[in-house]
Amino acid sequence: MTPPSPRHPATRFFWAAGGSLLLAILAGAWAIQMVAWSSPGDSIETFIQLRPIHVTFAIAWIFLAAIGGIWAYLPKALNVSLYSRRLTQMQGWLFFVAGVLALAGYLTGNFSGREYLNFTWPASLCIAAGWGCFFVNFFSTARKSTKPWPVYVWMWATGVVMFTWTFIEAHLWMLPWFEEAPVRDLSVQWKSYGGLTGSWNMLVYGLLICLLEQIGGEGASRSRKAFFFYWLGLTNLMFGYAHHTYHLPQAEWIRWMSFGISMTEWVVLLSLIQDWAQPWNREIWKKSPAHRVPRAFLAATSAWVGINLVLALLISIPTLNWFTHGTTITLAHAMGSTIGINSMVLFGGGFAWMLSRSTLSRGQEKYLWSGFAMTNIFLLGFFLILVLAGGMKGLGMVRSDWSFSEAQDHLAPMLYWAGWMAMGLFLGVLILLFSWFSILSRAKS
Amino acid sequence: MSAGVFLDTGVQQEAATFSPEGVSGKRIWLRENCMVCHQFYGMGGYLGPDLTNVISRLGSETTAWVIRNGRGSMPDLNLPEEDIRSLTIFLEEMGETGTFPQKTWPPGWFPPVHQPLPGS
Repeated sequence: MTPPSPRHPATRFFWAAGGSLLLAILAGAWAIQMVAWSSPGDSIETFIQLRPIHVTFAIAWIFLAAIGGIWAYLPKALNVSLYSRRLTQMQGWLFFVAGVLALAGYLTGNFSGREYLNFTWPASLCIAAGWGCFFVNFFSTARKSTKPWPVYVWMWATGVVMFTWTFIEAHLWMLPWFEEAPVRDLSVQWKSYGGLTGSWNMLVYGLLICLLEQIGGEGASRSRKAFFFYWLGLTNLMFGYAHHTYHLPQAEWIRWMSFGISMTEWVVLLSLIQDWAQPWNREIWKKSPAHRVPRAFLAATSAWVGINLVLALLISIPTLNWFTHGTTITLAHAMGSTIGINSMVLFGGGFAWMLSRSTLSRGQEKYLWSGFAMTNIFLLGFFLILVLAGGMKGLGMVRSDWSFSEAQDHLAPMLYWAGWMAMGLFLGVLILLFSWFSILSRAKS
Repeated sequence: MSAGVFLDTGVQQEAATFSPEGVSGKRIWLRENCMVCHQFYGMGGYLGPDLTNVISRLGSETTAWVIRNGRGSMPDLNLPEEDIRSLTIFLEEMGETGTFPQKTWPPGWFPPVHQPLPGS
C-alpha cells in the first residue's frame, strides 16, 4: 500500500483564504445592515467589533490566496522544486495562530485602535514570524532558477520585501517619537497603509500575469513592456500613497511629488484602452475552452481595473480630492479594488489551479457562473451608489456647509440601497466561496 | 521621499507634539477603538463625524458630555472622569494641528500647509 501523498502547500493556503473570506463577508454583511438600515439612536457597539473583523479577514483573504497562488505556480514557472515544505507548514500555523489571536482580541474588546492592523502585538508578532518563513522559503526557492526571472517573479519578490518594510513601518507608532507627534503619526500610518496595499497588489498582479502565461501561453512576461509597467507600479507603490494625505498639513513637496507620480497611472489607463478587447477575444477563448472559468475572472478584472483607474486618477487630482476625501468615494475605491480587481484575480488563479486537478460538472459550473454574475452586478451597483453618495456628501459639506448629521440625513436613502446591493454582493461571494470549497475538496494533491 | 515622510512631515510640526496628558488621551482613543467610526483629516471610519476640529466646533465641555453620555448612535463608553479629561485634551491638541474639512469656495489646489486654526 502506498502512503497518501502529502497535501500540496497551495491547498492549505487556499482553504485558509476561503475561511478568511467567509468570516470577512459574514462580519461585513452584519456590519453594513447596522449602517444602512439602522435608525437614529440605535447603538452600534457590535459594529466596533465587526468592522475590524471584516477588514482584517478581507486582507487575510487577499494575502493567503495570493500566497497559495505563489506556491501553486512558482516552482512550475521556474522549473525548480520548493525549498522547504516544512517552512510552508510553519508559515501556515503561525498565520493561523495570528488569526485566532486577532479574532479573540476583537471579540473581547482588545484592539490596537489602528485602522487596518487593528490587532494587538502578539498577533503582529505571529504574522511577522510567519512572513519571515515565507520570505526565506520564497527566495530560497526562486534563487534555484538558473534562468532570468519573468516579470511576475520580480513582482512577487517585490511584494514580499515591501510587505516586510511596510509592516514594520505600520508599527512605528509604538515608538514615542511617532506617538507624541500627531501629524507625523498620521502621515506614517497612511503612508505605510498605502505601501501595504501596494505590496499585496504586487503579489496579486504578479499572479495575474503568471496566470495569463500559464493558461494562455501569452509569453509577455519577459517583454520590455511588462518590465516597464513593473517599474511604474513599483514607483507608485513607493511614492504614490500621498494622494490619501493631501489634507494633512504636511510639506508641500511631498504632495507635489505624489500628485505627479499618481498621474503616471494615465499611462496604465491608456495601455488598457489600447488592449481593451484582448480579454474578450473569442478566438483566444476557443483555443483553451478548459480555461473559460479563470478567463472570465480575468476579463472581469480588466473591466474593474479600467473603472477603478478612472476613479483613482480623478480623486488624485487635488481640487477634486477636496470633495471626495473622507467620503464613501474612498470606500468605493477600496471595494472596487479589493473585490473587483484583487478578488477576481485570486478567484481566477485559485480556480485555474484547482480545475487542473479536478473536474467541474455542468450543475456546478452553472452555480459558479451565477455567483460570478451576482458578485459583479451587485458590486457595480454598490460601487456606483457609494460614488454618488460620496460626491453628494463632499459637495454638500463644502458648498452648503452641511453638518455631519445633515449629511447623514441626506444620504440615508442612498445608504439604504447600498445596503441591499451589499446583501446581493454578499450572496454572490458566498456562492463563489461554496464553489471554491467544493472544487478544492476534490482537487488532487 | 519615503524618508521625507519621517524627517519632513511638515513645517507645522515643531509645535505639534502632544502633552503627556494628550498622549494618555491618545492611548484611550486607541484602546476604545474610536477610529472605527471617526476620522482625523478625513481618514478613518465613516459612521461618525470627523473629529479633527471637534473641540473648536463643540467646545471642551460639550465634547466631554458626549463622551460621558453618548449621543445618537455613539455608545456611552463608561469611562472614568480622568480618562474623559485626557481624551478631551487629546482632541484639543489634535485640533491645533490644522483644519479639516476645508470649506472654502472655490476650492484651491492643495489645502494650505499653514492652515488657519478654526476661530483664529
